[in-house]
Amino acid sequence: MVVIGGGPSGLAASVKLEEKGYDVTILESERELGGILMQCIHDGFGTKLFNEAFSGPEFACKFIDRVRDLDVEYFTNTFVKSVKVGSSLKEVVALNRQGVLKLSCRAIVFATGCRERTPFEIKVGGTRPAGVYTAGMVQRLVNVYGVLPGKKVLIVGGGDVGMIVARHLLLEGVEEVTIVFPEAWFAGLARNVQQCVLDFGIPFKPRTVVKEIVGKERVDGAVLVNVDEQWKPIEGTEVFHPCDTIIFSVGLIPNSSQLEEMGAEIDPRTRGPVVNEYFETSLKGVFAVGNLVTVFDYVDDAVETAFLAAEGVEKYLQGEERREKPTPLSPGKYLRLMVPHRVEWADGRDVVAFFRSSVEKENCWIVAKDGSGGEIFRTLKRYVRPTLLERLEIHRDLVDKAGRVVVDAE
Amino acid sequence: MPSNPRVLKNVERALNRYKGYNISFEVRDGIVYLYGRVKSYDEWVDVGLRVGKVKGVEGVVNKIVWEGFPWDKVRDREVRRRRVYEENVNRVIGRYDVVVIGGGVTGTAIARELTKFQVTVALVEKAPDVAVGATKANNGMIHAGVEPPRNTLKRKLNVKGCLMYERWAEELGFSFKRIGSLWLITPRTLASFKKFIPEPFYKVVLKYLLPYAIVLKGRLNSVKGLRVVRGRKIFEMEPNAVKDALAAVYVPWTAIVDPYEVAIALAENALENGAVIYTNAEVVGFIKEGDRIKGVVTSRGTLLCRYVVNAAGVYADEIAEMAGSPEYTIHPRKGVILLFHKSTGPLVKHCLAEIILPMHPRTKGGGINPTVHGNVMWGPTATETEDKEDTSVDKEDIEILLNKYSTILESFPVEKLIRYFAGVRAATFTEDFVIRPAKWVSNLLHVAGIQSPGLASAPAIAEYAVERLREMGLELRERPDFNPRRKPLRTIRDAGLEEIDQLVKVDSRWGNVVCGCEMVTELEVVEAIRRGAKTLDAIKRRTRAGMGECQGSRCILRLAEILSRELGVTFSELLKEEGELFDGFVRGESP
Amino acid sequence: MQSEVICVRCPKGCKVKVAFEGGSVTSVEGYGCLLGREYAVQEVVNPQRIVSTTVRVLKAPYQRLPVRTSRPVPKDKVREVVKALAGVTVEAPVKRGEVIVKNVAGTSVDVIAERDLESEGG
Repeated sequence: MVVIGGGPSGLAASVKLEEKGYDVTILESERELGGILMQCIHDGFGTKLFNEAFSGPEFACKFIDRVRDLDVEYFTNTFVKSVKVGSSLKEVVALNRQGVLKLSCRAIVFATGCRERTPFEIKVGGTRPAGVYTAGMVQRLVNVYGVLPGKKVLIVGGGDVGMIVARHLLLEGVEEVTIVFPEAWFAGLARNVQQCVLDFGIPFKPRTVVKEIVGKERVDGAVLVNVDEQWKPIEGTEVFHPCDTIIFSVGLIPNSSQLEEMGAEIDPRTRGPVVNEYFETSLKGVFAVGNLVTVFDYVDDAVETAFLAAEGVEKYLQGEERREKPTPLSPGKYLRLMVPHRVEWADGRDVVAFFRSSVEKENCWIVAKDGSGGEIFRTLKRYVRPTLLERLEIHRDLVDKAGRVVVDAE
Repeated sequence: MPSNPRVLKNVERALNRYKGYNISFEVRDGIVYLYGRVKSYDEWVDVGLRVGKVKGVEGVVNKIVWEGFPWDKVRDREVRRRRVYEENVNRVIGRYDVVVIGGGVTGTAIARELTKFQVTVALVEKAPDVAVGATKANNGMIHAGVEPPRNTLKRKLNVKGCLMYERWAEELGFSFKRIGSLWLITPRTLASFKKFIPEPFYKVVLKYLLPYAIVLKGRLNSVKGLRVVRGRKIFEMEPNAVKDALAAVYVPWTAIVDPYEVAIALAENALENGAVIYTNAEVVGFIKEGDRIKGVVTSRGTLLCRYVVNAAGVYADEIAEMAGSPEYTIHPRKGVILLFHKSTGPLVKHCLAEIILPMHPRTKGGGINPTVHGNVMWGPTATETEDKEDTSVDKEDIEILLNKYSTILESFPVEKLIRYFAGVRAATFTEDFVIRPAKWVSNLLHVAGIQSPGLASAPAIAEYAVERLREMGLELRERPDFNPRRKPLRTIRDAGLEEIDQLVKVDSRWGNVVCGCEMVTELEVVEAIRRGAKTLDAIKRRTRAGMGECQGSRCILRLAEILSRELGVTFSELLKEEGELFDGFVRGESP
Repeated sequence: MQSEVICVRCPKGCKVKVAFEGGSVTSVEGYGCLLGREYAVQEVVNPQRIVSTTVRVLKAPYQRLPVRTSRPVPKDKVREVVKALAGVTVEAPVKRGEVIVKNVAGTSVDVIAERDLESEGG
């Protein structure tokens, strides 16, 4: 068994698989296990899984300790060069300071996480001088290297990462932080709005985006522009905001390039691979878990996908029966995205799905319908919001009866 | 020399449109000097271009000012230059036969060409690295030479230079692919003229007349081998070409390179053959004796010299003026290019363009082309800009390109856009290369106005420039020990597994992949630094670290760590290109 | 006196108005649920925060060691806590949970290491 990626999801999958008696090897590209959590030094991780709020490193260490206890084999600083999928055997070629590693295995779990969306991907104009960064990179710069990016900082994006980085920067010594975002209010958790922004009186500008970055050698500032409800810039509202650093926190994108190259089907909505109810990709025996599948808000949910995939690996290796035709699961009009994408196995546990709504609504009914529009299931969510990934369980026998399942907000 | 009365009259006629304006001019030895005032920068460009077109005009020095002319900026620049000049004029740091100003592909090519002879050569570049001006923001296309007007120097050097690239690539070890270009003719090609062409003839014109007209144009320009392709053939050559393409002209000589790789290779080879490269050395003035330059004063000290080559790109006009031979003004022309992810590479086989007449003023000359690294580029645009360093990109530019070129290919995943950038071409008003001895300085060679197709022409420009230096009195005896070869930076990107394994066993840094998108190892980064890279962008240009889909957000800190270790400086002292990357430490605690 | 608190108990983010006089709460308005009411009162009477930051670490593969307060500290002490950690230097190896600074900034709360850090090469 090879697990690619030693972040929380990869570690969780490895631990579960090793516990089931499989021989697991973890390949991690960074110099240590733990993934992105090792730089997320703020607290608040694990509230669902452990009923306690840990810091990122603390949460990761729970799994790292387990990996050590179980004596799971792992390689850090190891780059996966290629993966070949045969009918039963799979071959992973990796590279590290000791040389080329060729690993044959029967199943692979991809847990390669996500990357940050770049300012290019949101088509920000202007120049690209020194001083333009992404939030995760700055978090690492500050928390691991102890280096500050600049003195006067503009943060673009009202999500959790942006707010958390804003607070850190201010506490650690930058002179000035301002946050801008296109929504009417912060997209992140209220907790972060309070504890990261309001607590410190950090100025913020809703319905505002960066039109242009200004500066030749180093950032001189940004041209800010107001936007309407459709995020369309309103002409004539441009103002120049002087600063020496601009940090983009404008979304995360699954690291699915390698899977795509291998021929795995990719969902244009999530930009991650298409998976079945045990998080197996369209390539049989190749699983994908955590932020690689879709970007999770809670590490606890990401870890759950890893646990499910571990069960899936077992089913795959035991050659359990699959359905003649998979039952597709798809999001309806008011859902932005949903995983998994289909129910493929004949038997198993109830289907755990995650979705993001495209509307904001209090006391919202989530309804699942079959192919002919007949309702098969409904559940009430206290509050749905586009920025919040919701979890949903659907009884397997309900899915069995439907030819397809469409889930939507009502 | 007295001015030709015909030229005087024609210049006057060219200025007719600006009768109500207070514009005056004088002509000295074929160079027109314009004075006065216009309303806008656009008019300033227009006046210059009108005069530049006049037959017999060898150069236009446009001293006209426009409303909102940046007097403060000009004055600040002058004051700064004077100060730096005073600080450095008495600090001689070297003595060379030839000093080449400018480290773009032109300057590095000339410097390298000169090292074939028994002369001492120095190259001065104001940035911390070579290849940072127009050279770095180029689409890497080696044009065959069909486009330039027949009686131009750029036509002559383009056609010649293009064919010299195999040898250059082989000697200098840079990536080079002669992939050819395909110019598509579609129903949109003559849409603006459709009303003048009776319907039955429209397709005939498109399918039979126009392509042959282009082939003829090529032949007149001495570009052989152009071929007309029609029907299924088009799609056999370019499977993803737009389905309604009626015909195409195939230009077999078009090639692609990585432009900064070319300039870096030239610089490295020049260094190996004894040239000296001064980076961070901005030219602020000259020491003159009569009509000769005795020394080039830079921000790093003064270089005494016998000959000077002005290959300063967009700053060539200012250098010429400082030297005392102002013969042209540069009107910077910006080009924006879009870069797409490697996964799009297989969708484009040739350099592609759709011929649309008349040409769109902001996209003429552009198209879609693959890069030697497997990406795809769309562009460039062409926009006049006041600022010589205006490398900003408007959202509008992006939209124009995305719209304009969407009809070249049947389908293309435009969401795979990973980067866009702009370069500034050093155009003169005569719109031709200016490679000639200065009129009023006896040991200065102008190599100015090297806009497109400057990259394609570079090998020929270098030879041509050196020939001019010989005519100017520089004695050139070949060096028996000239080594034309430069070893490319080794990479494991395309190496076999056994080879990689052996490399790692010799040096474990081969096994440390620092940039996953482009598969760059620590050893490549260290080697790039050893070869002279001092900044993050310099490493990027040499190794491709940070050029993938994440645009460096995953590798920049690993690179910074290696750079700070190898140079022995803290994070706070590291540079991106010319600006500082970071600023200070957490709570002021230095490491 | 009246304060407005944004409830953090769920994504809805209710704006809760809490009025209090002489240390006791007199009225709470605008909450969506009892959890929210409880939170708002706590936030007005005695707001508390966990503080996370880093300190310099020597002989480790990294320059910084992530640390946090073992318990929440009063909100108005957050900056003081961070300031008190300026200049603190530890040496690897460090164990997770190890006390780095006792009774930081007079809060009677300790600052602890968030992770294990082995010494370089070890």
